[in-house]
Amino acid sequence: MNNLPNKFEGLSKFVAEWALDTEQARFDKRTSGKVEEIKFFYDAIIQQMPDIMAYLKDKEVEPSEQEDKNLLNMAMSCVEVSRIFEVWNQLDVRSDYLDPKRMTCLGYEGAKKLDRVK
Amino acid sequence: MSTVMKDKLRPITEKFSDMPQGRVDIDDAVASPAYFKAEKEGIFKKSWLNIARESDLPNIGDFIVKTIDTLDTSIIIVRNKEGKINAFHNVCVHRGMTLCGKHEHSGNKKYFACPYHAWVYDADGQLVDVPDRQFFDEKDLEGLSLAKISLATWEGFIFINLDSEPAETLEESLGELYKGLEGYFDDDKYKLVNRYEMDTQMNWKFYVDSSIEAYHANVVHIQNNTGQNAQSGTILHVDKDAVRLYEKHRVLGLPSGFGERELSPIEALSFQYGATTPYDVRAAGSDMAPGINVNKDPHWAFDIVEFFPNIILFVSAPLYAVIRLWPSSEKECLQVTDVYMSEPKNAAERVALEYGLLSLRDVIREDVNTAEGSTTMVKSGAIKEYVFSDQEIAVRHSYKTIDDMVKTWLANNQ
Repeated sequence: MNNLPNKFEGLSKFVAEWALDTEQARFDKRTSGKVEEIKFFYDAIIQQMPDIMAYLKDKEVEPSEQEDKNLLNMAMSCVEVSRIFEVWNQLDVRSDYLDPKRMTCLGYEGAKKLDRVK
Repeated sequence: MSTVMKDKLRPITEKFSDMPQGRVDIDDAVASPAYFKAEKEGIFKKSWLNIARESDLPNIGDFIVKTIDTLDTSIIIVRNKEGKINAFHNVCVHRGMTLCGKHEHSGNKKYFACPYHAWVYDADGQLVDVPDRQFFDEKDLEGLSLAKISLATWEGFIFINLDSEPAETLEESLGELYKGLEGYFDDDKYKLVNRYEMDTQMNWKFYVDSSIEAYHANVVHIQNNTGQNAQSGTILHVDKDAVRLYEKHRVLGLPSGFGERELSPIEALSFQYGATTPYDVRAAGSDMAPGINVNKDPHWAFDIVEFFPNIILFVSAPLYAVIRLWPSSEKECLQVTDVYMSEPKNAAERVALEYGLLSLRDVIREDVNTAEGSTTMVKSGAIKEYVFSDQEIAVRHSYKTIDDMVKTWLANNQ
């Protein structure tokens, strides 16, 4: 069983946890997660991100193959968690008052769906 | 301090020399229930407020429902069979039931039927059917229609005004901005790509405050794009020519590309695959409406356009965002952010777009955090005055605008 394109099969073990298909799911996963656990995923994927982006450049915005979808969703999770290690040096923005649970987002996928309803 | 130094450091104050200077009396009263009531009645219910975009209801019969606590009402906005957009209070004129229920946010209808006694209205609000009409006195039914709300559109934005006879037209209210921003909001170029909703615990003004000054960005956003610029050692500041204060609205132009900094790995990759944030130097466009980047500064990143009282427009080359603030009390505010960008053409561009969305989202969240922090302490009454720097002149201007209107309303309604 291969749940990612062959070239990236080394990342297969992360699919179940990180190939999340909405921004809300990725945001919730990050803000309710632990930095050390997330770092395990980030360290594994970040090295391959240039190759992943080069691969995704030839794919549709909404890829038809499940393995491409998984790769795209993992790349999006990488963007979501990258900020912990590349920008904030902490799990989230400074949030002494802010409760992440008070935010909901439609996400790109949701916004497109909204378009289609109409 | 020599005059020369003073000129250098306070050029915006010099430019707007007719504005009052010095410390400003701002205390716990500005976040009191009584002040909020005056804001609600004297400002929100009398101003042109952007509530949606025309592209939210593209087809005949499309409708959206917005329940706005600030305005004490729920509003149906619908496109009639001639393509014209109307707004009505979401209430049956028979016995006051909502026409669209709490969970009905959008859809397409020719008629609106009340779920209570099935009175039926068309998209112009006309009462077209009353079941068992013979039981009514025909005189009582004469001329009944939905309660209409004043509506006007501009550049694809739908504005409403709860005042049945608004003191000024939308065009008069927008003033110079009406023509100045023409042509920028192109629905073919910028598509809705996200909507964030936050139930915040902030006084709405505290969020407006940080939107119209850049002084805080060196601190609050130090770990974000603007802050990364600040990390280079160059302090972010707004040029005097990039500050515009209108009778009620305010516009600020923010620079980019000052100071050297290294892009983070994901940021660099995103810039490689799409222009997704205003900080990508390639994004700076010059072919925009005359009122955007008004000085045509090549180092421009984005404009903040504050449509008084509650709309913050973030306008840049690759994206624009509309932040709507709907306070329900002096310490609670629904914040809705709609983001518009170019559609990605492949999956890698989609990832690049995500970077742009998240960096904007998190800058907004950082500003909500400080607004919520200030809200927790305002009641203490420990602060009686605010001190404003030259860079914060728009905040000074905003408090004055609001306070003048609140005082006028209180004088006429007590």
